[in-house]
Amino acid sequence: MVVRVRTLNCILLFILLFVGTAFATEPDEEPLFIAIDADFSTVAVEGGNAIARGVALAVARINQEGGVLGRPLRIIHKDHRGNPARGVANIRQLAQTKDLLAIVGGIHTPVAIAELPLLHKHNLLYLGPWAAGTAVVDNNFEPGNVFRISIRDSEAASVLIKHAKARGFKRVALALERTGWGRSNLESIKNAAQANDISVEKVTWINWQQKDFDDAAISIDAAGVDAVIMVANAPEGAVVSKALHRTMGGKMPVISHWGIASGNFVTTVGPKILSELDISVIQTFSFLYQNNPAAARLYKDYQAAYGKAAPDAVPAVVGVAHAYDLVLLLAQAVKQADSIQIADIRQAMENLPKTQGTVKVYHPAFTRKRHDALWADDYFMARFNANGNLIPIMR
Amino acid sequence: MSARPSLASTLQRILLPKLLAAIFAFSLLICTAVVYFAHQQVSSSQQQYIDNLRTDINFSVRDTLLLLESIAGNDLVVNSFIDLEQRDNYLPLFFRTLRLSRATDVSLALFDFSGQPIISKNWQNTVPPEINTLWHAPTLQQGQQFWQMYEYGMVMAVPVHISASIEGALVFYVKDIGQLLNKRENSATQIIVGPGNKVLYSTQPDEVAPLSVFLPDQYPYSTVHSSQWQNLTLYSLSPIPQAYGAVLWLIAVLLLSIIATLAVSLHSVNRAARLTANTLDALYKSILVRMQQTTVIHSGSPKDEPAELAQIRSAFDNLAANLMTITLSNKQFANVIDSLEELLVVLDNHNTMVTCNQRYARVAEQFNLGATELQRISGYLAQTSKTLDATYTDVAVPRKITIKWALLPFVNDKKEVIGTILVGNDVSHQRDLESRNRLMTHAMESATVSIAIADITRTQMPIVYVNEYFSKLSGFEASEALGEPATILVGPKTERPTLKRMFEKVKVGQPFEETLLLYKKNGQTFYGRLAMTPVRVDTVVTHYVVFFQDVTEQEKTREYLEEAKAKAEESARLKSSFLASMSHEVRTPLHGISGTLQLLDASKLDQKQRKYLSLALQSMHNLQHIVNDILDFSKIEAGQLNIEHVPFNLSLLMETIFEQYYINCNNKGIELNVQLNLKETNYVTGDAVRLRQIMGNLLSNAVKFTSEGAVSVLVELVDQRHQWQLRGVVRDSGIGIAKDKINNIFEVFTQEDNTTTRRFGGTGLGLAITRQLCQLCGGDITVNSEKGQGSTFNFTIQLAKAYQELTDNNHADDLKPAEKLPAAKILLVEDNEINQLIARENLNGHKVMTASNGKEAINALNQMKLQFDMILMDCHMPEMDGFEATRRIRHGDAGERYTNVPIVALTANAMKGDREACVAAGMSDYISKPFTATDLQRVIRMWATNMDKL
Repeated sequence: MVVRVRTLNCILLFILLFVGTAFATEPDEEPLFIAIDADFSTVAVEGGNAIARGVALAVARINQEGGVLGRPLRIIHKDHRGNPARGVANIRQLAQTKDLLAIVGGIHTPVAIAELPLLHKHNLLYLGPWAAGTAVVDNNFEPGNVFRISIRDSEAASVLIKHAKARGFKRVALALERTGWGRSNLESIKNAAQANDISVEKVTWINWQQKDFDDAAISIDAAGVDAVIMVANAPEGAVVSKALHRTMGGKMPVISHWGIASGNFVTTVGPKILSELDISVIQTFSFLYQNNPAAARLYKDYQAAYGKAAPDAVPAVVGVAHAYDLVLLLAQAVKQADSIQIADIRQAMENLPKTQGTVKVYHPAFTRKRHDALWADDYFMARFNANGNLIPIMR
Repeated sequence: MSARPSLASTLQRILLPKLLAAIFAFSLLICTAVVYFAHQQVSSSQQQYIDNLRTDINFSVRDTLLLLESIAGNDLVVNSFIDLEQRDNYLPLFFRTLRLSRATDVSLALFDFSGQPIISKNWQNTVPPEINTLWHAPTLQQGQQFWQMYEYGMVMAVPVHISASIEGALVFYVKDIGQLLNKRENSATQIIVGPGNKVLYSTQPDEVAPLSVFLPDQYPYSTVHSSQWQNLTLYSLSPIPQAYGAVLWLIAVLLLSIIATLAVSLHSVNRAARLTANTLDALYKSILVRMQQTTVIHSGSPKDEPAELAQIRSAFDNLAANLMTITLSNKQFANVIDSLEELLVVLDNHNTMVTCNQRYARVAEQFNLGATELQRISGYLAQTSKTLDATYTDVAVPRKITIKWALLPFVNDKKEVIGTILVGNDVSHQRDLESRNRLMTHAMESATVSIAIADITRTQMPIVYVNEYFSKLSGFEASEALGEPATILVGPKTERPTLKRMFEKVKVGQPFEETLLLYKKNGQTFYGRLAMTPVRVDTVVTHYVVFFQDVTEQEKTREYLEEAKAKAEESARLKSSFLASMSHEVRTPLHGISGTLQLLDASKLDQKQRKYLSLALQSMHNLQHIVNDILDFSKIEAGQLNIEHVPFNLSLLMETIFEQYYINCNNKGIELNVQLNLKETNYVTGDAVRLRQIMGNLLSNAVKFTSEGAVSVLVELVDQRHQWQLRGVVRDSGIGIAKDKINNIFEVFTQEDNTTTRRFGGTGLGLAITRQLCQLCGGDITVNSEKGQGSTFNFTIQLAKAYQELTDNNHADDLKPAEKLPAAKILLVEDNEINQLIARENLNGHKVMTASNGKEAINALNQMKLQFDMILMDCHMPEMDGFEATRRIRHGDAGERYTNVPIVALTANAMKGDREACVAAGMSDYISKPFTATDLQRVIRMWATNMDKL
């Protein structure tokens, strides 16, 4: 925890230095704000920090190029600790902030969903770099203030199921966290399974902070399935994985949603068990096997700011890339709108030109009807290597 | 007698008044103690009530808090913080089913991080609102457990954590504190008083009403005890008569005890008096009886006789016993002399035996000593007044004994001599030792080895003994050597390190053996073989015994043999080096012939020519086989045969080997039976080439020597934990081997006999090489055979286990089909024209340019505009050899563009070290001559076509 706080301090210091130099040229300009509302202290710290790094790198680049509409950008950090009640309280506070362009959200779908009514009541823009719940974007608010560069659960389900099918699995069991996120996936996985002729033989649930999953693992074993599809965050994902390993050894393949990539899953499970398990994880981005110049530039900036890291060893790398692209697109939209009115920015976001992003070429990122930027074609499956880093599976 | 008062009445008169006074004083003391302890008792039981009450509250609070903790840690509760949408489906049900303590009327609520309620039970209208101010700070901010008892009841709260952070609280409230506590099972009243003396709880609300103000002064007729605890005061009060009621009965008990004590005392005095009187009476009677008896018997004592009377009786008994003892002392004197080791005989003045001891009696009987002998001894000793050694023999055993006799005068009280005392000592053992000592000395003196003894306790370690042979060897007479330092034979050329080692051994008292150069008296040197042994007295080394011999002759012989061995090894090395270079020289023309024949084979020929060519090719193969055998053998001899250690596909190897011999057998009309048991293992690590050679030699022998019947092969893998053992059996039904030849079959140049060579051909190296290869591969080979009945060869080799991933890659390489390669631009550097021709033909389809030495090659590379994809480089060439040319190309002599060009060595040397020499020069790979088209294709595929990717 101490280390994490220190990392956070480093980020803040880095941002202040950068913003400071940007200020030096135009000291009179009032800053514009971007808020990050994510978990920096409980269950998905790795993901929260990755998002903060992505935002910080984008803001540093924007400020270096003269800011937005001639005004520097500044970042406000809010820690919702994965707790929806805290998230709602954070939004209530942020609603009072002057010149706030947008709020970059965190890992947790339940928090995002709980925040939706207040976000729309106060007309705040929400940029989603991670929370994958379908209902976060398809939220029945008109106009919708959520823009997302991340996985969308309904799409993820088809990728997970197709991966299972490609590996020849016919019967699967599900292990889902007992929240809105787990339920959103239950529905989409069932639909995708039916369409691909795969049968869901068993559905098991795990509560947040649950410590024991052995009974469920035994029931999965008894169901005689070919693989387990897992939708959970790092702590619960680790409990599920260890229980499966205890019950069946490493022979049961696990196809996982990416919640386990947001926290200290690898250290909790431990290298020995991890190496024996057959886990594949859905991802959208990796610095490995890249020929995208924007990605190369981000990798260079990332290493300059946070020290050397192998391409596969950047923690929760998707958070960095998504947040970075979102903030750059936001800045582009503000410039295009030439206004900081939320309605104008929203309209600009829906009408951006084709843009080379870090994750992919957006053409364009969002439209009036479509606030999700990434779709099934943009996802891939990855595996943990011996160091516990995610490596894309080349197929 | 009757005029005197009886013992009983006397005792009563003296004892009773004192007894009564003592009882009175004692009763007073007890009464005071009872009152004092009763007070203590009441205090401590009141204190106990308070302690019990506190413990009870403590337990109840602790249990309830533990329960609350476990609910707060329940993952369903934690989950409800996240799962806002669906928590209403399970949280209320979960809350309804909770039962928290023995209290029935409790309220429970779950709050979020900001203190907003999420769910509650029995909370509205029951819980006073101000309790929220109590638990908020400690629980939600500091994350601690909280409990407090106050005028409206009891509140407890525990934090709810997600991971390490506090995200909510679970709060418990009960109005009636009594519900949390057990019923008090005592007559006193316990109350709990909060701040402002307000009663929060009372066990008897009729006595002290809850919520009233409690002041201890209001209860003057009660005992009141109190104890502070946290911000509460606990009281226990009880009315005084009730408190002390418990000890009043003690007074009656006390009175009864006094009366009982009096009665018992009277009775005891009477009883004691009677007992004393009886005992004295019994003693009196027993003494009377003793007076009339003479034997020593202990008088019978009555049961329970008092100690004092028993002492009197025992003193009397002792007196009687002493009288008897005196009569026994004479007998003890006899025992003393009988116990002596010496022989003791007492004679009177007439030499008649007065007495003797048992030792003498035994010796006399055994060795037949009689009065005459005694007279002889005493007569002799009386005259000489010395001692006399006399030896006696026991005929029966037979055994000898030597007695040393001495004589003493026998005098009476008046100092008159009334006889003689003869004392004899058995000195047989001493005499034996003396004669043994003489024997040893003689042996040492006449030994034909030099012996010297040095005293190492003195400085310089002087010699204290030398034998005659020492003088003979060294020239020093005993008189000259004795007292001289032990280093007497050491001279200037004596090896100092050996001497130093010797002294170190002596220092620690260890034995030592060494050969070193020593000096005789006349200065002549000789090699002495020394053996030094320490002599210990009680673990301390006092002397060293030194044996030594002149070993000058042996030393000279040893030096001569060492020289001879070095010469022999040198000549063996020369031989293998000769063989290696010869095989190299033979290989080069052989390569030429082989290549030319292959080229000829590919051209158009008529039938007759083809037949001749086929014969030539066959002879060529045989010749190559022989040269390879010789080369292998010379490599083994020279210790230059390397066993490879790489993964290979064992089952595939077996398949290809057997495929070849199926054809051979088929042609000869014999069967080939193969049985494989490879434990489902494909890949192993070892030397596939050598395994193929071993199998090939055995199989070709089997096929060669079998004209009808079958050749059977069994190959199996045996799991030896970390490695495999491959066991092979090759059995044939051929000519077999005679008994007297079977032991030599694995020797060099041995076939069963010379006629075999004539009939079947071969070098006679095959089986010798096979055995050497088996042994180099960690195994061995044996044979069983009978003339005319066929032979069975059993062999083993060790193989390591292979890792699957590794081998899968190789596998992929192995099976890659020989695709048509794109044309590559190749520079061939080779001085031998025939080899140039053969290589060019085999490189058909590629653009090939030739250079005949290294210098030409570098010139060509510099001048040609064309970019070569790879260079094939012969190693040994005139002007500039391949190694030098490679070094220069790598250095940039042929231009920057060629510093990384693949260079593949063509070498006719197949000896150990070639590959290393090539790599050291900077070559990328090597193939050895004679190479085939396939070898060339492999290196071209590997190096020439990979350039784009590099």
